[in-house]
Amino acid sequence: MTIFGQAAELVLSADAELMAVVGLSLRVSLTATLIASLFAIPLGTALAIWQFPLRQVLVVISTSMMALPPVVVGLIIYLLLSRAGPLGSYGILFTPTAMIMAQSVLIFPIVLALTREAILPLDRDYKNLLDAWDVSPLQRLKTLIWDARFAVVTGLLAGFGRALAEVGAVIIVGGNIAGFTRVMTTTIALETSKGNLELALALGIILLSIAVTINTAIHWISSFGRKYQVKR
Amino acid sequence: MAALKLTNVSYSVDGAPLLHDISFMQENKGVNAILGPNGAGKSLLLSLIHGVIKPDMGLVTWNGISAQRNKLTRGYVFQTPIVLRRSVRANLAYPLTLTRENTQDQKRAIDEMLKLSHLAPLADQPAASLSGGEAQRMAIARALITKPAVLLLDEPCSNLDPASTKLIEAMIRTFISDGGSVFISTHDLAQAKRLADVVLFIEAGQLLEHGPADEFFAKPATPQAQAYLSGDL
Repeated sequence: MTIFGQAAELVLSADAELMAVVGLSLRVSLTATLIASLFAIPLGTALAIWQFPLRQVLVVISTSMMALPPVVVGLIIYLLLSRAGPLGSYGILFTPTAMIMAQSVLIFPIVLALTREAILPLDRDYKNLLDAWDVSPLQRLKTLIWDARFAVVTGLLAGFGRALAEVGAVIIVGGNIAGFTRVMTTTIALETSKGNLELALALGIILLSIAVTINTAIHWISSFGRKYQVKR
Repeated sequence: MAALKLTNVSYSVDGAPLLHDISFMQENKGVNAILGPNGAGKSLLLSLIHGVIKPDMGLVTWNGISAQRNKLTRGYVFQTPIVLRRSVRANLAYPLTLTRENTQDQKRAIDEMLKLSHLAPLADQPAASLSGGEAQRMAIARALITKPAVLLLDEPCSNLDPASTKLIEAMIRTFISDGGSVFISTHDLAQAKRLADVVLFIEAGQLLEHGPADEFFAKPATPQAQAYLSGDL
């Protein structure tokens, strides 16, 4: 049987080791996306609609963070969580929690920037109407996030995709420990170096399938969202 | 009865006066048409009346209370309807969430407004799919759904066909017959003649005439108003 055949068999038979790795990957990346979005969506909206001191500085910093090299993020989180670091006493280095932290940091600027980009034009469209109703700042925030929901969800999916495909940061802070912190990307890297190509390929097939599913969802959500946009 | 009072209201942008020392009081119900040539300051005056913008000098009050407050007691409709990225029904529901109406009252009010605006068959469509006339009817219905005492309309029928204009005028008449009061800025003299009880004529940022519409159209008092009505201004 070829490597492709063996990889396909691993996927179709829902191999236990394979599924454990996939499960952990999804759990870590979904949690990281959720945590990042809790902060990034309100902050991205605030940066789009409110004028306050240092706003432009925050915009530049957040945009620059999109180019953060994952290994550098991994290194910084490692230094924070290592025994000598300020958070070393919590003992979370080389755990899924550390991986979630690293991925959250990586996703945060992506979700923030995409949210801000989605809210900016909407705020311009809505400003006079919401002013005429004297809508409170909090209600304005909620209204804009809700009405930009399709674009915001697209941003979340993009962030989730980025988290799932990430390898540099999670290998540094997770340690790639079998059965504990080994996720799809780190397993692919390790198994390929060991010559265990069928497992690496099986994970590659699953990773690619998830990427295609995410992109299909982004495309579908964007198309659906366009129905609610006023054509100019 | 809503009483609007402007006292020595002026507004300028970058030092250029756009409205100058406007004072008037308006207590009667009915339709008050703000007339004047393009750039006279009609839309600006309407924005000041609603309290969306604050005058540089002077006071705008409704029943003695600053126009900056209690904006939800008035409905405001823009020349180009602003459509929330939601269904028609959700657009109508939005102001009710601001006034915290209960669900049953919301449903009743929405159904009533869908009927008034002739939009019931389109209730669950994205509002963005509406035509210009439909979107403006929705905007008026959305402004009326909180049962305001006053409706402020900024050239609501510009760029609309006669059929859409007729439907919108019917909505205005229904609101008036229910005891409401309307301030409408328009450059459509025929519409002003059909609807207005009172005319406020402004030119170059100054209020030149304020009185019964019949008198204004029959015998304008100022040369500017005469020129405006004869199409020379």
